[in-house]
Amino acid sequence: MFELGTEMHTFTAIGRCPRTGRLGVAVTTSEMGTGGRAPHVKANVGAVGTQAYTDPRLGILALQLLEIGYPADRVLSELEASDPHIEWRQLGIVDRWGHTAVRTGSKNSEWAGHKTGDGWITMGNYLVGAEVVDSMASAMETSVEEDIETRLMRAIDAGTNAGGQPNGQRAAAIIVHENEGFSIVNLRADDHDEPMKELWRLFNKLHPLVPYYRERPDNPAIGRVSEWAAERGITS
Amino acid sequence: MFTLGPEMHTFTAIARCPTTGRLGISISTSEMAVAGRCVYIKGNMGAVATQSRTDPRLGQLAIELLSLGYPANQVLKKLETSDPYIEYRQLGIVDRYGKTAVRTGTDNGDWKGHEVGNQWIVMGNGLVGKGVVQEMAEGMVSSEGEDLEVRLMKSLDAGTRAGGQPNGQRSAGILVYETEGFSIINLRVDKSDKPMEGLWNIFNKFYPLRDYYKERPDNPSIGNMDDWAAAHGVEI
Repeated sequence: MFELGTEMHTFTAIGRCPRTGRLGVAVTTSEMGTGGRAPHVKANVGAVGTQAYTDPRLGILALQLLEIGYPADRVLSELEASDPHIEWRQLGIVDRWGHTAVRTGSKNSEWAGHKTGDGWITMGNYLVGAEVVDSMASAMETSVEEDIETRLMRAIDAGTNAGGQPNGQRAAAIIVHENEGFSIVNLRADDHDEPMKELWRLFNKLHPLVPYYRERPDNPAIGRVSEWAAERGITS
Repeated sequence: MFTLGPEMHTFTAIARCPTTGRLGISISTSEMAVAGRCVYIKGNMGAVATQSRTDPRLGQLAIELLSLGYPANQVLKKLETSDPYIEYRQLGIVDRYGKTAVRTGTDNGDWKGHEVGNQWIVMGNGLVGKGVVQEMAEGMVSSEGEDLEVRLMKSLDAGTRAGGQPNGQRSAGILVYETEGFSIINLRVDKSDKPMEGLWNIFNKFYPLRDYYKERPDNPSIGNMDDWAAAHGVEI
């Protein structure tokens, strides 16, 4: 019927900023539109990546359980007990306290695995080798002083530079939620030959505008974004 | 300080499928990554768009109120009384019963306005004229009976062809939730000179794959997407 070994091929960084409490996920994969299926984030509640043969409902359920107050490892136990196909999934959970829980099911394709650190997870399946996840982990560690959105970008960039997946990437995304309850960075490259390059292009344009989008909800008389950017010498 | 008029320039279609109960939104604007700020849907609960000087929190609050069971018009009243800047916003709400509520604040840039029909809303601000919204409405009416995601694409396309916004579009997105509770179509073009063309491009590739992504959560041994597409004669 089908050969094992050629499955979902995704790699992901999930993190909580230890200084600000921001939560985010960055992900890239060989299928279109991954940002619409794999990352699930809720401000002050948690960040979840559900991948391999993804069930998006696990991400929705995980956020509900995190909101009730379960810590990450307990949420993962609940998902394990609810999903009859758990070995096909790869799941990573960072809760509002920075606790991590991650599980790479036995039916994920090689190379599959994960690493964890202080408030972060890097994980992937059907990769060229362990070096992809190791490079992502190293990027999370060495960037600890930077913004979480920059750290997550650096992590999946490092994974891409380490060779990524045997069949290349096609989509990438980053979502980071501010404590105030909405996303401050929410960008996607849904169908590209070089999605990481495209995500950097978007990120580098949007990142200087984050203060504008953070202020505008409470100050709608701020003016338009192009004028705000011009006054600050920001080119878009 | 700033001139009123050339503000957010967004146009949007929001609808519920009268046949299937699916909920969806399509949107295009002159700023980058609109679908990360303006679009809120919960399966079986409702679809909400918050635009013009967007406050993303209004979208989240609206979804919570719809989940409690309030109908669309009651949710809109509660948003009106919660938001000190309501005249800067443009809000559209379609609830799980297909009821609609829409409000275009007086501080939206001209042309601004909306039309409603059978379980749908089309609305926009900072447009070249009311022809944009009228053509979007016509797109919804003339496509009745088709899949909701196709109707939303046609409506947005009609608005684009009617001239869209004076300064052109830069981003677009479409989000459609199945009644099972997760998105079946979730596609974005975050920064492009021709976002509508880019959105059609990825929509046409993804649309034939929606059955794969609908089935895979409960049947992870379905095989990889490439093989499924090849077996079904789908070119990606």
